[in-house]
Amino acid sequence: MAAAGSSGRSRFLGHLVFARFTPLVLAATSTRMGQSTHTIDALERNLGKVIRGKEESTRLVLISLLAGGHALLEDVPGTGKTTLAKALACSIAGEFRRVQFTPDLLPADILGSSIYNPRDGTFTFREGPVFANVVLADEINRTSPRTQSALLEVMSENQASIEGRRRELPKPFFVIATQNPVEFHGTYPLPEAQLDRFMVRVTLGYPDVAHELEVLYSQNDHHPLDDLTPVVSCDEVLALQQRVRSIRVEKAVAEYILQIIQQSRRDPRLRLGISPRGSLALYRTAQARALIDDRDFVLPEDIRALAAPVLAHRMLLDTKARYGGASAETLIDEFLAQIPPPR
Amino acid sequence: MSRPEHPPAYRPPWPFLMAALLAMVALYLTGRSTVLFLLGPLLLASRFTDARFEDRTWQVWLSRFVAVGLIVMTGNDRGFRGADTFITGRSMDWFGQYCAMELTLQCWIRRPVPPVAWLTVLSGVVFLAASNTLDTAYIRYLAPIYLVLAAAGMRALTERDRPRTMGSTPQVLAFGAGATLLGLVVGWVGFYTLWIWRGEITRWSNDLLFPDHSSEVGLSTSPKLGATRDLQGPLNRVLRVRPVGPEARGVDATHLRALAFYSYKNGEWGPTLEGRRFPAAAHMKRARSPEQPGLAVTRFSNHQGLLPAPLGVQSVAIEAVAELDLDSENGHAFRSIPEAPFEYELALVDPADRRSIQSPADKIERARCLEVPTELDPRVLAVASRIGNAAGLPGAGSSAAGTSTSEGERARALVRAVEQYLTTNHEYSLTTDPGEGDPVSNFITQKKSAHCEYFASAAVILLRCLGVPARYVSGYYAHEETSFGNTIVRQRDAHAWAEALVEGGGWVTVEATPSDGRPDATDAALPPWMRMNEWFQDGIDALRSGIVRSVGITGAVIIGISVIAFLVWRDIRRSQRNQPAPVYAYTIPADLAGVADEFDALLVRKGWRCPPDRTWHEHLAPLIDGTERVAPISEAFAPPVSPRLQERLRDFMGNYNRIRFGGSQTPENLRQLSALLADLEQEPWPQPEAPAGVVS
Repeated sequence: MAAAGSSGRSRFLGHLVFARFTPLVLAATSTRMGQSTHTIDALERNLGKVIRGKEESTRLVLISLLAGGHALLEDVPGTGKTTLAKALACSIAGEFRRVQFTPDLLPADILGSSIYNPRDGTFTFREGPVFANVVLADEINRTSPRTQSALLEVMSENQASIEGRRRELPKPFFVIATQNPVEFHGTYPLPEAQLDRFMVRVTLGYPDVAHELEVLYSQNDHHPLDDLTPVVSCDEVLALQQRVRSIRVEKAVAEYILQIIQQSRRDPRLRLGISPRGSLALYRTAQARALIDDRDFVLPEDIRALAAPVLAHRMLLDTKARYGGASAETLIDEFLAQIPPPR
Repeated sequence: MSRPEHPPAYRPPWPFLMAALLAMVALYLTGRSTVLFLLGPLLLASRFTDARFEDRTWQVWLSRFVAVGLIVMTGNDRGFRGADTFITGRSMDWFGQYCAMELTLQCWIRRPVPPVAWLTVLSGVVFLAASNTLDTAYIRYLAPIYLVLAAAGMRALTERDRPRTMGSTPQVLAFGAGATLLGLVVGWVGFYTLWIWRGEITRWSNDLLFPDHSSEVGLSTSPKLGATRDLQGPLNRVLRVRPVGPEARGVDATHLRALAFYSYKNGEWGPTLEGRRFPAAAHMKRARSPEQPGLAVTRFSNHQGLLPAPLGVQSVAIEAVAELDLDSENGHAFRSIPEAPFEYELALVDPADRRSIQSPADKIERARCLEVPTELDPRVLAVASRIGNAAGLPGAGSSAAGTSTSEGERARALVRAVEQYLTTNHEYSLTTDPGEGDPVSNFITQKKSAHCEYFASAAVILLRCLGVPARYVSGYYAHEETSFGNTIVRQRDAHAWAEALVEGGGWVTVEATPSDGRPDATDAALPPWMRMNEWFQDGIDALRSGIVRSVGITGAVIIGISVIAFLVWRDIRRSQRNQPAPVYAYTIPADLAGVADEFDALLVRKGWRCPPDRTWHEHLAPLIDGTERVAPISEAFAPPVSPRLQERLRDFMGNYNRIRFGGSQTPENLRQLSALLADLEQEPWPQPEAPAGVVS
């Protein structure tokens, strides 16, 4: 079966950035962690049916889901951002809403508002699309910063304050946003505060020839998305998120994280270093990666693999460095080369 | 995917450099006396900058210990036991030297990156030269040490960069304290060694630096006619003479006299300097009036407190010296010997007015100047009378004949006759032997060739025999003019001549040495390096006096302190913003550390040395998984790996990681890990095609 094969290959092949580090399958841990592995494998298989050859990106999305964060998919149009987001939503047996971000969208359109009922003369609150387990914020940079800001509280605290009342969002709550970085006209770049709230930034990129061929044939009858059925319940996701927090992080590894973060704050080429939210995100995603790799402890390799997707979008380069050809990713590569990892 | 290489950013010790430079300038401006307190903290602060601890080769540290030790030991201003030798009492210069040495070493021990590094080198050289302007003798002794240290620094430069961990703060402090203690001991030992051997060192250095000059000849303060061989003085500068005020007419500025001598006995002139008593009225420290001609003289090295000056000095003006005895007739001297270099200004009077300032030679003095030594060979008297007769002017005994000529004219004519006799009948030679009996008699009767002291003595004796009061004078013959309008006087220009008292004209110079024997004829050309060095000294000196003139010493010091404060403030700010990444030492549990070290050693043995910037698993990915993880060692490189090795490596890495990061550290697991390590040692490993661990 194609899906199983893809999952198996994902262990060893794939894009360099992600497949640098293969999991270490340890007999002792896999029995202990068996149940989690099963659930995660099912999720990965489901996503693999729809998105071909992009295991590293789908894994990053999964990592951010398990780490309790949100994911930002950023790439040129037509690479499957929305498909991936929808596939993930369909795989979880929870409520899924989609918000198409347009320039005329208002905060109330996202959060919800009270509506007057002329029959009994009362106001009833109608929940906006954020009141769901998985929210797809499509083309998020097409709406004004005013509306984008409505998501700030929602994404960081899993709650919404509307008309003076605090409303809890359902659990789990996962925002998956897409944006197209190549356009300028009619788009609003995401504010730094908003960017910081995404745990990972994922780029998909074009598939290779073999996988694109598969894509062409697979859509002959109908879109494979239509076949997807939920494979995990909300409770299972919550349990996995709980499990992630119990993954062991050795002190040296945590110190390694902080070394990288400190370096970003010292570097004169950065106008904005990485916030403590960033270090927390790196910590948590490393735990999630260890869980997906079937380990109950985090390795320095986890940190090194995740540094770029988790940290790059949080760093703000100063103009001189940007025109000098540096990018956040190259700076992170530099940091990783400068700071010796613990052994 | 090639990994970019990131060399550590080079950060020259700019603040220390600038601060030291300013301190040096301030030091120089204030006459190196009052800013010691500035250099102390600066030096201390430099110990704590990051640049200091980067290189810890033993040569560099040893140099610092020795330098600090010497500074501490010689910090006493009056010198050790009050003696005046090169080794003592020069703490200021030591500090300057030390700064220069450190700075230059700094840029050698850190990898020089042009152009900043070369600027640093240049500033080090400038320091050395600036210290050199003080022209103290010991700089020569320091130069070889400095060269050795520079060589040591260059050796350190060739070593490969290796990350070094510094350790904790208490360790650093303990190390620093130990270093200081050791420095004291080393300095003490070094100091005494130098002290005991100072004579030998001086001799050896002179032989090395001036091989042509057999002995050092300076200004004679107790002239004695003895045997000499190839007599030549050293080249170092003693005086720089610059005319000031209106032009002086009729002043013989070439003969700078230091001391006059009256009594002659068995080839020795007296009284000696120690034996003199300056009259109370001789205190003539007074400023020159603007309309009066004068000479500004810089004394580079002090010799017995003597102030060389031409005939006809009315007064002397001098700063920084409280007590001065000036006797314009016999010589000039300080009561206390001041530290060279210093400047004094002489007010001159026209020879026509000279009588007004000269005390008339009284009878006693006249008698002293006519005293003929009893041991004199009678044939000398015959020579004298021959000279007198030849000139048509018989000796003192038959002075009645001279009715038509005045006493003054007669004396002048005799002086000319004696000069002419000696310059025509004797030859100049640097090698001479006094012979038996009285040296002057020997010289005159045997028409020997000798040097200026003999000519001067003979002139005095002959003039006295002819009834002209005369005395012997030692001093310098100034002839070397520079492009700046200055006249330079060197040690080798030391000279002796005679002076005669002429009725109506006062004392006049009697130059009886043949013209081919005077310093202007005998002096060899100066070596070009010495010219350059002096040119540099004069430049700095001009800068110094320019600054002092424009802003004053206080202003210069205030500006210097402000700039230092600004630089320190800027450096603190910058270091807060852009701290270098601390080298972090991760703590490995003690039980595991042994295994980790062994594994590292194993990797080296098998040709797979792991660089510090990646993990073992990343590094061994080609072996464990057959895939590249970080950087390809070479393109499409997949070494043939035996499945056994692959499995064992995977097992080892898995187990190690579980123990190290998974917290499952039990004795059983550790034993298992050691067993796996032993297995890995047995397995054959493939050789990496490119040397493993070399990142492009």
